[in-house]
Amino acid sequence: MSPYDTLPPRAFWRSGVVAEVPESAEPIQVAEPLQAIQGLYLPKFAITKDTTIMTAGSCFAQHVHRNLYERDWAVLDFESPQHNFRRDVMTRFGYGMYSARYGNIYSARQMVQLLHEAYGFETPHAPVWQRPDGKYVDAQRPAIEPDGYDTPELVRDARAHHLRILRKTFESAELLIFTLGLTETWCHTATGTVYPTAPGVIATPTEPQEISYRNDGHRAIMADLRALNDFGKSRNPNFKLLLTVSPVPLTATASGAHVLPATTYSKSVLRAAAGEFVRAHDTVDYFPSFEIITNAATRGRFFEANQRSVTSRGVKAAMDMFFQAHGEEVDTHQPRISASLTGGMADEGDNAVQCEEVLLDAMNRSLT
Amino acid sequence: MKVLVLGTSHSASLRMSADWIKRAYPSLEVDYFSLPGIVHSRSLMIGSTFGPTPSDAYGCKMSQQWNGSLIVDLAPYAQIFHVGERFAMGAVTRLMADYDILEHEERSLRPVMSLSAARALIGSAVYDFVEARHDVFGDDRRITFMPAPYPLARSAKRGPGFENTMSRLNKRHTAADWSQIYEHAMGTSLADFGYRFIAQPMHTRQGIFATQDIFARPKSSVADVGDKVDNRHTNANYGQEIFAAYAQSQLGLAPLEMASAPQS
Repeated sequence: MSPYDTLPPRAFWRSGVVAEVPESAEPIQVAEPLQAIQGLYLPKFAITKDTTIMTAGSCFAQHVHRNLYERDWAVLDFESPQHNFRRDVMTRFGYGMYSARYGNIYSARQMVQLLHEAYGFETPHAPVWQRPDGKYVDAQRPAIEPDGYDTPELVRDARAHHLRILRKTFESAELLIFTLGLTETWCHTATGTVYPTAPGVIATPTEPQEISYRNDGHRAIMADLRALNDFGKSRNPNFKLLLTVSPVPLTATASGAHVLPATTYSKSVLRAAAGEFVRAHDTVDYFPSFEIITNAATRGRFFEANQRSVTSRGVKAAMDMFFQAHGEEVDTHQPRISASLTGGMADEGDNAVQCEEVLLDAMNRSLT
Repeated sequence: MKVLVLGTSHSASLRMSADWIKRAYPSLEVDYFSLPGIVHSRSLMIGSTFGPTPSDAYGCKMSQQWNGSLIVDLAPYAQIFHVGERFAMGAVTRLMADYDILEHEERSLRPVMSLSAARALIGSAVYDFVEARHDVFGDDRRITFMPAPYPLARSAKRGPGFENTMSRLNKRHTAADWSQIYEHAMGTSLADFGYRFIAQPMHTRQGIFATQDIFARPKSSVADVGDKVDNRHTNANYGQEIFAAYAQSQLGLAPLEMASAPQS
């Protein structure tokens, strides 16, 4: 039983917005490509193709990671197979989405908690939750193993390895691109441990009543950003942070409000905190993907029919702005092509010259 | 019964054993059609014929040179033994060499991957490969696939022809588990498209992911050819072994003449 199960329709985007405005689901035909707004992003510091980048955050950060990867920028990922496996299968298991296999990290608090855990400064409460089918999940990344784990020990074992790789990733990164997604979170009241999902959504802890809903305000977000930046600086004096705010509305709110004002509250607080924090730090910048996607001039055309998911055109507009601002030509690049797109044929095949020789040998033999 | 041996350069070992096959299986009429892997992978079926497209000048030249014809008509054949595809071997073996399986006892400093994820990634890579072959050959229950042989055991030695990935993989205690996952993926993916599958016979292997050196092509070692060492292609003895495995498992035929003893 999830806390969202009993909420009224107005608490959900689909029922509270899409169903209320049926024509919003109709795709709008766009004749001309939408141009990025000039001057929207004026970087504080240079980011180059060789800057080692760690990506993390709410789900829009996946687009950032993928675009950096496809353009062959130095985006880190020590945990995913580097061998052109099928994108959809990789994603199903949490690979290739971010710089490590931590899944969506919706808040700066969760990111700080993760880093503190990786370095032994914090031990999250109730790390293993159980699904209705009896399988176990990692409470901090419950979706990365769709089949679940057979035992709690396997969860802990997998997490220990993940944290080891995370440390390596973090220490290799010159820049963390972090996408702020939510202010609403689920928290173990006594210890302050936060979780990316509510009890009952995917799995449930042993004592679900100890987990409560929390909706952070500006001050809390500022404190978390400070903690994140301070921790980065403590590990690497040259650490830089690029913040973004996810333009993706809330799927659901447990605040009691309609999902629209709940979304506005969440994004406003995050945006305000990011803005204030960026102003105060030379090594922290803000990339306005939120504004690119949501500004009124786009008339919602950068959202899919569900008025929530960002279209590929929207992602391209945002990422083109990022790459242009950092001196990259945006229309000439050839994205890395997955082997699956070529029918799995791309392979480290046999030496062509040897192939010729060996068959000539065989021909000669069969002719003699 | 007419049988076609079709494949990449790895089918050369069968061509080289053609005389033995003729003597050992007198009831079979076996023909051969081979193309280098790169040409084979881009060749197409047109009607009942298979071969390089007319625009593939290199492929046409090679086919003419090796087969005496540009294309082969598959229609007359009762069975087809398809040899030498790699089944995403490069990507899959690197994955197997680079990762530990969470549920396995063996632990190293490699990243850990769950068995479920490994099966899904390998399974999808192999499936995509087979699907691409199905796009070419279509539904054809006559076809039995045997993959390219694993590199020779001597390729574990550093120097020309060194197979880093295979060498690392073959040393792993979990090699047999990985092999089971990979070969199971090949078998099930091929079965999904109505094809049959034979794994490289175990008695031709050294360990799990290597082929015994006795099956090396003649004069292909470092001592013979220096940097041009060939640790991937095999000899006529190997051709005899795999044809015997094919005939036994798919046609129910035993050879009338024993296979030649491999020359070490």
